[in-house]
Amino acid sequence: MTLQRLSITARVPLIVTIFMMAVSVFTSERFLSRLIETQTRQIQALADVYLDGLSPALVDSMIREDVWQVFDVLDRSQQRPSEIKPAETIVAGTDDFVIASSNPVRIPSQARVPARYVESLQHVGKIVVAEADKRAFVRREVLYENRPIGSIYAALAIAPLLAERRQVLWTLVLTNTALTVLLAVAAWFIVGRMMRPMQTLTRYLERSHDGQVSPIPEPIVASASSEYKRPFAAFNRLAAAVAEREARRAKLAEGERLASLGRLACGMAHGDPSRGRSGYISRWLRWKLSAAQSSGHASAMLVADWI
Amino acid sequence: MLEELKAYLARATERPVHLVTRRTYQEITALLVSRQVDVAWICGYPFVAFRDQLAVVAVPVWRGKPLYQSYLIVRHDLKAEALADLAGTIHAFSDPDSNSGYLVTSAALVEMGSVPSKFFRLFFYTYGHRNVVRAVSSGLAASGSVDGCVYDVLRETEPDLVARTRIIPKSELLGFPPVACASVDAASPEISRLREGLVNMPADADRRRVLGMLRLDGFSVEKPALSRPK
Repeated sequence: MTLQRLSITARVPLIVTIFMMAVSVFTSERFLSRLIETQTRQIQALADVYLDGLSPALVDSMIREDVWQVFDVLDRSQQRPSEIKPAETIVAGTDDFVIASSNPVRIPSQARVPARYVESLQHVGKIVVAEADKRAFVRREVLYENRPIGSIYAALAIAPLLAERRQVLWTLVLTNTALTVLLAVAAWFIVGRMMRPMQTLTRYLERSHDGQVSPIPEPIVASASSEYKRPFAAFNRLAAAVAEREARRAKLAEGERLASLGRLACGMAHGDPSRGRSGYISRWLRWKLSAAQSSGHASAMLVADWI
Repeated sequence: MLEELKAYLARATERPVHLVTRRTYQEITALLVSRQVDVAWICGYPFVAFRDQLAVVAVPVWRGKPLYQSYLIVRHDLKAEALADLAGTIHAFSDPDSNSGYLVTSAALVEMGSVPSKFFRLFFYTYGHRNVVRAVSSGLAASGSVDGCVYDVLRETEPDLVARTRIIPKSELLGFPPVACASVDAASPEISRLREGLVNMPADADRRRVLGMLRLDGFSVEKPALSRPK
C-alpha cells in the first residue's frame, strides 16, 4: 500500500513516527558519541592521575628491580579509596620482563608482559578501550634522569562507565520511543479532530445520493472553524438551490399533468368521436378543473375556458 | 600499643623515651653500634655478628621460654612438603640480617650444597616478617622464611592473610631476638633501670596488658650465648 492511499488520519501519524525515529536515531547517535568521547577523556584523566601518583613511588624500586617494594607500592595503591579501580597493574623493566604485578598469581615476576598489553599499547600514555573486556589499557614509560627504566602497564576496570553508557542508551531509546508514540497518538487525535468537519460534509453529501439534500444545521456550521464555515455555507446554498429546483420541477410536472387533462376535456367537449362522449366524464373534468382553478392553476383556467 | 610501651619505659627509666623505627636490621644495628640509640630490639643474627660491641639487656619470653622458631611457609595450594621441593621457585626472605627470616633457610640450603641464588629462581627481601606472609599469601612468592612468633600472632590477628599459607617445616628452637645495648653502656644505671622495668612487667595488670599486645609473657635476663648458633 502506498503512502498516498492511506487516509490522512493514518498518514500524518505515520509520517510523524518516521520523522521522530529519524530524529531519535540521529540525536541518540550524536549524544552517545559525545558521551563516549567524554568518558574516554575521563578514563584518560583518571589513568593519568593514577599513573602520576604511582610513577614517583616506583622509580627507586624500579631502578633496583626490587620485587617486593614494587609489589608493596602496587598493593597499597589498590587499597586506597579512589575513583578508578585498576584491575591489574604490571611494572616491567625496559626489556618488558615483569618486576612485579598486582596479580602475581596470573602475572608472576620475571615473566614477559602479556602480549595483549604490549601489542595494544604501542602509543605510550594513550588509553586503549576494550569494551568486550570491560577494561581500558594504558602504558606509562618511567624515566630516571631522562633515561627510561621501565614501564607501568595498567588495566583499568571501566565496567561502571560502560554500564552508565548502556543506561543512557536505554534511557534515550525508551524516552524517544515514548515521545514518538505520544506524538503519533497526538497527531492521530489532532488530525482526527481537524478532519471531523470534513467527515460531516462528506456525510451530508452522501445523503444526497438518496435524493435528500438537507442543509447542515446552523449550530454545526457555527461551531466549525473558519476554514470549514465557507464550504459548509456553500453546501447549504447548494442544498437550498437543489430544494428550490426540486419544488419548481414538481410544480411544473403538476402543470403538465393538468394541461394533459385539459386537452382531453376539450376533445370531449367538441364531440370528437375518438375521445369519448360521456357527459359524466365531461362533468367530472369540469369539477376537477374548477378545483384546480380554485387552487390557482393558470393552466386549469385556460382549459376550463376551452371547455 | 607503642605509645603505652613508650610511656611505661619512660616511667621505668625515669627518662623521656623516643622510639625509633627503621626499615632494615642493618640500619638499626648501625644506630645501636654507633650509640645513636641506647637500646634496640634486634635479631639474634646481628647480635652475634656484633657480639664484641653489643650486650643483652633482656630477652623476651614467649610461651614460657626465651626461644622461638623459624617457619618455612608456602602458598596453601603449592605442592611442596620440604625445602628441597622449592627448587626453581620464588622465595621471600625477611631481611638479610634476620636469623629466622634468612639465616635458617640459607644454612639449610648450604647443608644441601646450594645457596639461595642458585636454588631459587628468584628471591627477594621484604624487610618485615608480616611482609613475607603477604608475599606468599598474594602469590608473589611461592615460599617464604618467617619468624614463627610473628606468624603465630598473625594467625590470631589476621587470619585471612595467613589462611592462604601453610607451614612446611619448623626450625629447631632458637634464642629469641634480644633487646640489646652497646656493650660500653651495659652497666649504666639507665640500662639497669630499663632491664629491671622490662623484667618486672608481668607484675602489674597494666603492664601485662602491654605484654599481651606484644603477645609476650615477659622479659628475662639471659646470657649472650642464647643467640649463638648451636
